Amino acid sequence: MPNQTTYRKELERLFKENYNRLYFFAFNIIHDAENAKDIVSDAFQEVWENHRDKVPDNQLIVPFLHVCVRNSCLDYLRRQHVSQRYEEYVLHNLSEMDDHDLSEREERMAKVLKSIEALPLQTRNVFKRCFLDGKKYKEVSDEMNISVNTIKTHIIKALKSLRGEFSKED
Amino acid sequence: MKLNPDREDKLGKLDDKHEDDLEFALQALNHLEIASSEKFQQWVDESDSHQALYAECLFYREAGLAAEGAGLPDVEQEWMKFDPSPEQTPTSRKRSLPTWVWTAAAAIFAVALLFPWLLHRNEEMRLAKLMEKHVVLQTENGEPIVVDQANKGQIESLGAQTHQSGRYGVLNMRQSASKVKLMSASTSNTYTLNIPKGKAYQLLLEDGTEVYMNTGSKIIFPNHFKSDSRVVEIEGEAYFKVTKDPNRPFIVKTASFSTKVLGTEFNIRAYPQGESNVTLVTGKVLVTSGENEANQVTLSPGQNATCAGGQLLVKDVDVENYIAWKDGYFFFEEASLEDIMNEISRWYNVRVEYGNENLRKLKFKFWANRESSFQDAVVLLNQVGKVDVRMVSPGQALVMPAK
Repeated sequence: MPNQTTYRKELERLFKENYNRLYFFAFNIIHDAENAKDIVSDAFQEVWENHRDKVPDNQLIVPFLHVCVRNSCLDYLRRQHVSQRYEEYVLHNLSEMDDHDLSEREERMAKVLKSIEALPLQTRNVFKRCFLDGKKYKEVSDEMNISVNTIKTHIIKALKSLRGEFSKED
Repeated sequence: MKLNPDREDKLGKLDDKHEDDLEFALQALNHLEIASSEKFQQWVDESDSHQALYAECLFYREAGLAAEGAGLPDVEQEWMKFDPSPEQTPTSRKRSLPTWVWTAAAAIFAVALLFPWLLHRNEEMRLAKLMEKHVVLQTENGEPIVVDQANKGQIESLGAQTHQSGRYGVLNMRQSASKVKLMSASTSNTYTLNIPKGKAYQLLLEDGTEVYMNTGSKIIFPNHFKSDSRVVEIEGEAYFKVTKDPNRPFIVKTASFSTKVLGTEFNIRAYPQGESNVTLVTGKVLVTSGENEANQVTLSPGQNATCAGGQLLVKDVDVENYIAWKDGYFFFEEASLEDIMNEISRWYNVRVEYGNENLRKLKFKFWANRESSFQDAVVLLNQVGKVDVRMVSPGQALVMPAK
């Protein structure tokens, strides 16, 4: 009988270390938060069912989790009757799983996070509505009572600072 | 300060021209119906910069959600929901199932109540299970017979015998017609022999023709051939040594073509997935594709016909590539990883997943003994240095790029 406590701890570590990345991997494909969460939990479920006594090495299991999540996302798209073309697109553009440049990605993410924190309040407001809430420029303009052109300026400004560029006007 | 000069090049400068593109990308970002629309897919295909812009936006959204905090799933809470504490079984997870599962379950239950004939499905499933592990002979209306287990009574009742010859188990039907004639009035029966994954088997037909059946294949044949022709049907792969009989041509049918011979040796590969091939070793064969008599080719020894979209393509080949399986080898002189993995995984019954799609097309030269384990084959593949095939569990492998 394997040591259940150790096993559970290992599984917990695996879960917590990888949850967010897998979540966004799914979310970026299906754009649905609740289903993305279900898909990720199901992938861990698969690990648990296939490896009851020992959590396999990260090097082996992390790419496997990715594949599980990718396959479930494709199943989800099929259930939603999403076009074949989008499936192809996902396979070729959104499902790269080479685990080489992970730390580079994390570094970049940290920098972008910092840049977002540093955005002027109004720009950040516009960024949030357009990037996270998926609102149209027109809707945001109505809500915030500013012109569509101003929205555009804010968005370009946000993008430039997230890219680490600084425009001449600043 | 630039984070990534390459990305910068692809994206181009941000100016007014890009504002529409940008709004479009942002819309797709949060609406699956837009991201999956024809219009968006065309837009992405239009230029690398569009694809790069969209990827960039996905990345910023992720960062944005992290910055807001509120948009992120609560990992701690998700773990609590998932946590398989020791007293729980995997099926009693705390997370409730999505509604559609319950709806589906209710529907299935209702259907089961209404139609007792669904119980027949049980029988079918039992047979399917049997055929996953064993070489099974199905008769037209009788009980399926397991051939690769001591089962002499049932096999002999058909006038057949089994024996071992080298690496092959053999089902010998040579005497079946005459013996059955003595026992019953009906003389012509049709049989189906199913070979499961991971096995190969040999069949000796009534006329003395030898058929080597490769893994995951089936053949439909009569116990007694007609007086003017000998017809069998296959799905999968088989190597034929046909007994010469100028008066009765031997015809092998597959889903996409038929092969007509008088007496010769040849290999046919016609699995449901992948291309179909006829490879001639000695003698002469006539291959006809579909219904169209005009679409015919005659092969000489050393030639292979491929059937693609109803068209037959003939080329000279190294026959050994196509028939090495019969002698217990995998042999690929120059093949895509996908073709190689398809064949290997069929034999070992392993599910193969690819970390990224480009890996499928990598070309390999590959040789291995089929009697070794899947792990041994994987070690050989990895030694080439192009890929890193990993075993996730006994039935699952994952192909990743080599480090």
